[in-house]
Formats: sequence, structure tokens, C-alpha cells
Amino acid sequence: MSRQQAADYRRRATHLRSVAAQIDDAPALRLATHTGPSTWLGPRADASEFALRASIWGAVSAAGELRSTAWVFEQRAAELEAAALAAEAAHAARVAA
Amino acid sequence: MIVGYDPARLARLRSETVRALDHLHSIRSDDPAAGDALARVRALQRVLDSDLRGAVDAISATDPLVRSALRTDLSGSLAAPRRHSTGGGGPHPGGEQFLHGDLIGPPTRFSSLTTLELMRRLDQMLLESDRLGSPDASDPFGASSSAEYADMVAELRRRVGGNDTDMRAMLVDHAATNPLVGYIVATEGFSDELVVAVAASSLSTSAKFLRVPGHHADAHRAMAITALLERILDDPALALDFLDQPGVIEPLATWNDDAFSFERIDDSLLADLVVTALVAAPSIDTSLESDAYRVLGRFVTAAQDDHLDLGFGPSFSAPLAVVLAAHAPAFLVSATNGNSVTLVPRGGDGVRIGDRSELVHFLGALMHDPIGLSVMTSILHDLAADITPDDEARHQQFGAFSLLLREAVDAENDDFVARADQLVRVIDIGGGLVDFAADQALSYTGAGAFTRFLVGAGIDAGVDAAADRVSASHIDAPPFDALAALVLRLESIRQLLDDAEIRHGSTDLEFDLARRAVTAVDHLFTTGTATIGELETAMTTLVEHARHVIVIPELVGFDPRHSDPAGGDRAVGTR
Repeated sequence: MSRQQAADYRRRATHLRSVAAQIDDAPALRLATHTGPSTWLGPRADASEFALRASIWGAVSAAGELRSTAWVFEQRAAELEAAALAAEAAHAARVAA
Repeated sequence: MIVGYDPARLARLRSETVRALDHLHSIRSDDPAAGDALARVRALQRVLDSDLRGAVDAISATDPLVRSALRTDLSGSLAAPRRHSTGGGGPHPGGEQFLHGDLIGPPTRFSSLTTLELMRRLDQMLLESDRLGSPDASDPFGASSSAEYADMVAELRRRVGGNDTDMRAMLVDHAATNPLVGYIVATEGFSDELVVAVAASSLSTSAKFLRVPGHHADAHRAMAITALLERILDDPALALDFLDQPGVIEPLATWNDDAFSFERIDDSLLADLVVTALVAAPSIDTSLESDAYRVLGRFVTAAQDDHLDLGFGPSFSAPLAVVLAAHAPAFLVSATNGNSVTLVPRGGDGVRIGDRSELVHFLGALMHDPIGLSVMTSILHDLAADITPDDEARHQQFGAFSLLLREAVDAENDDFVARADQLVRVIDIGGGLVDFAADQALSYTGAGAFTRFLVGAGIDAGVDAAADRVSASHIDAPPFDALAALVLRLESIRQLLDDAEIRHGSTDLEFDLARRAVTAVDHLFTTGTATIGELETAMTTLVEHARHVIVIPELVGFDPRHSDPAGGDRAVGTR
């Protein structure tokens, strides 16, 4: 059971990292290079850019958090695997005795 | 309203926005752990769809040149941007600088990286330093052993110095998750403005609870914040500016709470920050007084937060109490001014720091801490000592301030009751003194005795610190009046006798004798007919008995016969 749970955690961690990578690769994160005063000027432009930068940061930090969660999942998986290994060793010792 | 634009660039922006939206649509996940992240991706989608594309479409609907550009293959049309102006604004003089600012310094090995790639490289460097083991405070990120560190610093300087606003914004944002950013900005001579922004980002509430990968992430974070605070403390005005940033006070005030088990930030550094910002800065430059009051208002607001139910903690309580003492005159005036608490800086307009109930809560948060409590009691002493017989306004102010403190104590929770009870007694006596003084033309100020009484009532851990502080600052206290001293002596001994923890192995008989002596002196006071001489005799007896019961030598060492009997053998009125 522990090994199955550990595998689930590892699978989820891999998935979360892939989602994080997708976010990192999103062209949306580089849209700010097409804005700025060389493209347009005015309050609406400013407001749009502000919203853009704020939401880009939201997405960038989301990717970071996904990686953090993935890291935590991997830690849990490692702990579960260690526990399973210890249980198996104990069982083997009992059988041998 | 758009006042100027380049049709070709606008068309390119629209096509890139559409491409970006397509990609965002493809990001999906059924894992609940990704729910929050996907919500932020969808938020970005909405901004692209409505704000950005909506704005471009609104322009193109009215300008045939943009529509034309939208129909053209735009890939090679960026060489010579043209500008249209719909108003008097004209082209922005620094328009191109936003994208191609003059970089400061020669290229480095990182110069070909985009901003995002540079941030990823910083993340890798953080993880590499994590692998070096437990960080050393003198070089927490292993700069001395990294071949890339100097180049990274040079590259960041080069871009930030070149007014790359994207780079600045990204550094500020990235500092929330990568403490190496804060450390570099703090220690490598970046601008004050960037230091404050990065420090605020590193200390934001969301950053505080963000998990940073790495085995030594907490230690790295604490060291980066320490470096930033040390840099900020170099300049009191900068310290004030930093504390004026939204959202930094609560995370700082609770950082060292045991409940969070974060790597601690040195308490004295935090205390320095508060006192430097709120006392030193306005002392050096009085024009900063209103800023200091505004920041004090931020602390008052922070005290209302549930996270601070147990007070500000030792890092902030004592320094804030010192701040309160430094600005006591302004507080005194405001305390009598109805519901809104407004502090008036010299030569400036009043700064509202909260309403009365908020201030009460703030004072309560300070008094949770023993040191904060003892400093507050010292303030009461200082205020009482300053009162002169004909200063009715001062009487009212002191009474109002005492009332605020009393309300603050009442407002606190049950855990606070034991300490609060004693403080209530202090405040009652303080208020009583003022009432008494009003009736008697204030013959009795009792500064020295009042101080010692307050110190005695300061209780447990606060006693020693307060005693040191008071003895250092009031060594030349004026002679106190014998009657006031006796009143205070009686009250302090009565309280101490009630406190089982500070009796030292006395017998029941000794304790009973001391209590009887208290009752005897009390009786003399309440009859209102005893002379000072009679009271002093009874008090001497009481002190003799109390010596066998109480272990605080400063209190029982007091000998009323050595006091200055300025009041003479005067009949005592009922208090």
C-alpha cells in the first residue's frame, strides 16, 4: 500500500512539474516585450499593462508553487518508500526467524 | 483612452496575444494540488482576452491603419515603428528605452539570456548553494566558491542600471521565492529603491508561507532578510520608507513566533528597525514626522489582525512602547480628542492613526509582552512626574491616557488576566494620584516611589529590565512626597503579598502578620484622620513584616523614614 501511495505521489509530482513547465513556456509570459510606450501610450494602455504584469506574476509564482508542491510530494514518496522498505525488512527478518 | 500608438507593433501585440491565449487554453490538470495554479493561469487568460485584446480591438475598430496592419504579415514590419497620436501627447521620449535600455557595463556570460532565463539561472545557483550544506552567515550563498556569482551580480547590475524596468519588476517578484535575489540586492550596492521593493517582496505574507525548495531554504531566507534589513538600517529614512510598504508589518511582527518555526531573524535587528524608523528618522528630519505617524497607524491597523491576538511579541512590543514614549505628548493630546486618534506632527496636518477602539487594541497588543508592559508603566511614571499643580489640561490628558490603558487591559483575553489585574491596580493608583492631586492642589507627586511601585508591579520577566531602565534614567529623580510614597508602598506590598510566587519560604505566621500589618495601614488611610507620622510608623512595621515574606529587595529595602517629608504632619484625606 505504501509503495502504491509513493508511486501516486511521484506520478503527481511529475505531472505538477510538467504543468509548471507548460506555464514557464507560455508565450503569455513574454507578452510584455510587445507592450510598453514603444507600442502604445495612455491610461488604458497603462491599465492593461498593469493587469498583464500582475497576472503574469501570478502565473509565474503559480509555477513556482507547483514545483514546491511537487518537491513535497517527492519527499512524502521517499518517506513512504523508506517505511515500506523497513516493513519488508522486518517481515523478512521475522520469516527468517 | 489610448493617446498614441504604433499600428504595426499594436498588430503584432494582438497576434502574439492570440497565440498566447491558444497556449494557455492547452494547460490543463485534474490534480487538485494544481487547482490554485490553474486558477491563476485562467486569470491570466482573462486579462489577455479582455484587457489586452479588448484594448487593441477597440483601437483597430477606429483606425484603418491598424486594421491594415492586422491583415499584413507582421513578422518583418518592426524595423521602423511609426507613431500615431490621437492627442497632444506625442511619442514617449523614452519609448524604446523600455525594451532596449542602454545596458551598464560589459557583457557577461549571462548576457544572452532572457529575463526569465536569468531568473531560472538564479534558481539553479540557489539550489547549488543549498547543496553546500548548512549556510555560513559570512557567505550564506557560497559566493566565494561560485565561479558564476560575480558574473551574475554584474549582469543584474548591467540590466538594472540600464533601466530595464522588466528586469527590476522581475527581480522584485522573484525575491519572494528566491532569497539569493534579496541577498545580492542587499549586499552588492543596488539602489535604495530596489532594496526596499525587494525587501517588501521577500517579506510579503504570501512569500512568508511560500515553500522554497532546498534543505536550507529557511536559513537562506532568514539570512537574506537579515542582509536586507541591515542595509535598510543604514539609513533611518529608508527604514521608515520600508515600514511604510503595505503588507510588511504583520509578517515581520509574527516572524519569530514559535508557532511558525521559521528560522529566526535577530530580535534586536527588528527592534532597531522599529526604533530607527519611528524615532530616529523623524528626530533627524522633522519633516518625516507625519510619515512616522502614518507608519505607526499601520502598526495600529496590524494589531487588529487575528494573527496578533497574542501581541506583537518581544521583537516589536518593547520598541513600539519606546516609540509610544517618544511620541507620548502627541498621544496625550489625541487621547482626549474623542473617538478618532489623530497625531499632529510639528508644522503639519494631523495624521489619523486609527479610532479609539483600534488604539486600545494596539496598546493591549504591546502589553502582552513583559518588557512592553514595563516600558508602558514607565511612561505612566514619566507622565505623572511631569504634572504640575496648575496644569489642568495635563491632568485630563493623563486621566484619558490612563483610561485608554485601562481599556486596553480590559479588552485583552483571559490569558492576560493575571498580569492585567496588576496593571489595573497600577493604573487605578495613577489615576487616583491625579484625582487626589486635583483635590489637594497636587502637593504629592511621588516620582521616585511611583517609579519603584510601577517597577514592582511590572511583574515577572519585566522586573529586571524595567528596573535597569528606570534606575538608569531616573537616578536623579526629585524627592518624592512622603504620603504618595506611603500610598504606593502599601499598594505594592499588598499586591506582592498576594502573589504566592514571590514569597520566599515564609511561615504562615509571618505571612499572617504581614497581612495584618497591611490591614492596619489600610485602616489608617481610610479613616482619613491619621498623620503622616502615624502612617510612617505603621508602614515601618509593615515593611519589617514584609521583609520576611517578600524577596524583592528593592521594594522591601525602602525605608520611609529616609524619605523627604515635604508634606509634614498633615492630615490625610480619604482617597
